Amino acid sequence: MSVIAPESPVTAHDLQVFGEEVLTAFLLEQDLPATTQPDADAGWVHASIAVTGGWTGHITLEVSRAGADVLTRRMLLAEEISPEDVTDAVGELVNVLGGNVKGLLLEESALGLPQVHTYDEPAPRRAAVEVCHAELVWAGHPVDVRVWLDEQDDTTPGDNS
Amino acid sequence: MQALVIDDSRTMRMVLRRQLELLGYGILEAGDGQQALEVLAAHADAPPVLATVDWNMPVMNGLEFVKAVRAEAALRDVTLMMVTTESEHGQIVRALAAGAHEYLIKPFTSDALVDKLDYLGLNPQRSVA
Amino acid sequence: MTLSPSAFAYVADLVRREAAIVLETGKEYLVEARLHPLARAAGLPDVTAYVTHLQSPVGRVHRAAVVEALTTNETSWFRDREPFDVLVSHVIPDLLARTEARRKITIWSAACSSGQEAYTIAMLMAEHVVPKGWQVEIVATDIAPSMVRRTQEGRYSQLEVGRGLPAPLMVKHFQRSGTQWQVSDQLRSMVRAQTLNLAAPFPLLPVFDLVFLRNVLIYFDQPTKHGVLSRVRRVMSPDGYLFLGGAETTLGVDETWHRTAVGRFTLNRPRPQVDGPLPPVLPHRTPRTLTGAPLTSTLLSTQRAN
Repeated sequence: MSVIAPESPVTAHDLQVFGEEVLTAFLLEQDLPATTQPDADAGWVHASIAVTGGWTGHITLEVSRAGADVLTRRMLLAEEISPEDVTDAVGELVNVLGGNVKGLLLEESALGLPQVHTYDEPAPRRAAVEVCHAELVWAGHPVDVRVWLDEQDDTTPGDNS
Repeated sequence: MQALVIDDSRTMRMVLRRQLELLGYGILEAGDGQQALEVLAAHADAPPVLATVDWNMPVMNGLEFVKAVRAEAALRDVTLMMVTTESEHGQIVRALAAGAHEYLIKPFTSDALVDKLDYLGLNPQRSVA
Repeated sequence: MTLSPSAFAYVADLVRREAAIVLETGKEYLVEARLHPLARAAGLPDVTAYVTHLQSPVGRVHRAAVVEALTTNETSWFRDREPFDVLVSHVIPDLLARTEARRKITIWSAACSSGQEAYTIAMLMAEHVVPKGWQVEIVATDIAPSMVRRTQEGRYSQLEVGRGLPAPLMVKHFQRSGTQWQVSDQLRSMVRAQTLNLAAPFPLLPVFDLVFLRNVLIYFDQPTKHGVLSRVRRVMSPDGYLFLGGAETTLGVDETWHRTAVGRFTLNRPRPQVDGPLPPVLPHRTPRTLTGAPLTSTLLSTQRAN
């Protein structure tokens, strides 16, 4: 996308800061159980959460299936995890990032509920202007986090919960 | 002592359950505000001393839940702690005005949760003699 | 992906050599948590890469920062809670009655780290002292210039404000500023931060009514402890109060103090130089805790050092 975003209160640096805090709080637990589960399938987990109101856009998080499995095990401190666990854990991670990003906005806005999908390829992008993006490293796995400003002439309803 | 953990994410319920159980709490769970009110009704004879309350949830959100609990005289001894990613100054003010006692912003460390419970006098491991 | 065993072994060895602190196996998570921000700041992808960098000739300059990151205790608001309950229930009422003529309370937060204790005290003063028309001056000192700067700025990350700061006080005294929280100008105007080495002769300081010297004596040997305590006594009002950490005491270290137990907390007061009446002991009103709940036990005993 070649559109330049208007000046934004959210920067890549802010995303890095929030990423560090999430890492410290939820993903560095000791006594992590060793896993006996086979490696996850290839593919990607894509999570998105909408912000509506004075500022309308969304925050996305994308991570490989293998990375998503590791993050889920760390959050749950569980050896065996199900695909539903992964969906829930990654959804909660984008929820936490999304709420923190919303806290930086000047306009009063509301946070939606997380949507999580898995793809064989990185997820298709929708009509929106990228405000900023950061490549986080959580537990050794790259996690792509982006903030999008939805285009205002979009007449379809955004993510709703 | 019992705590009710209210969050639509079962990952987050598990994180809170683990940390509260380590302190000695028995845990009840609910996935939204409406379910939480039902859990409280089912435990009316011995309500939990603490409820951790997520804000953004389907069916009934955490703020509506706090208002509903505060409207109920029988539940006045339940300490309500918001545990949410909502992090604006104004949102914290709103939750406290609605009757929440404490507010913990996600992400939080287990130390931060223990600090809040210490301050509230609700850490079973450090109960005052 | 996570910290390699050899990287952990290197860091554990470094910290043991430089600070005599032992990091046992199983503390890998701590090393990862504390060093991750340093690794990112150095532009390296993870802690293992950072530790490899540390071992190189160009990376050795970072070793001091690593030792500091692993030996600095996290500091929280209302740390230990009890000293602040006693401050509100007993000490403030006593000072308000005693220093009536001056209408000013002067406080020292020694080894202030990033300032949480100084601003905790400032919040309580804003609540209980300032509305009565009294002035409050809090001198916050630390040996590290970086900590003095942080205290002056009064900006804290979300994780830092999460540590023990009650939400009602947070919304009253802090505003969000980007990803951080900024302490109010009212509190900042009460706090003056400067560098100070407790183990060396002190610079010119005001006479303090209250000194908070908590969780710092434990790091010193016996002669240094004695030296610190006698220097502190010389900059305190004879009617003043010294707050120590939970694991610290003047008992057996410096017998020029007398100790007063309030509940489970012990206050230290400078002992009069000549025989005479000890300063009267407390309290001037029914003790209350910060939240208004009565203290479970009040004045249990008054000990006098012989």
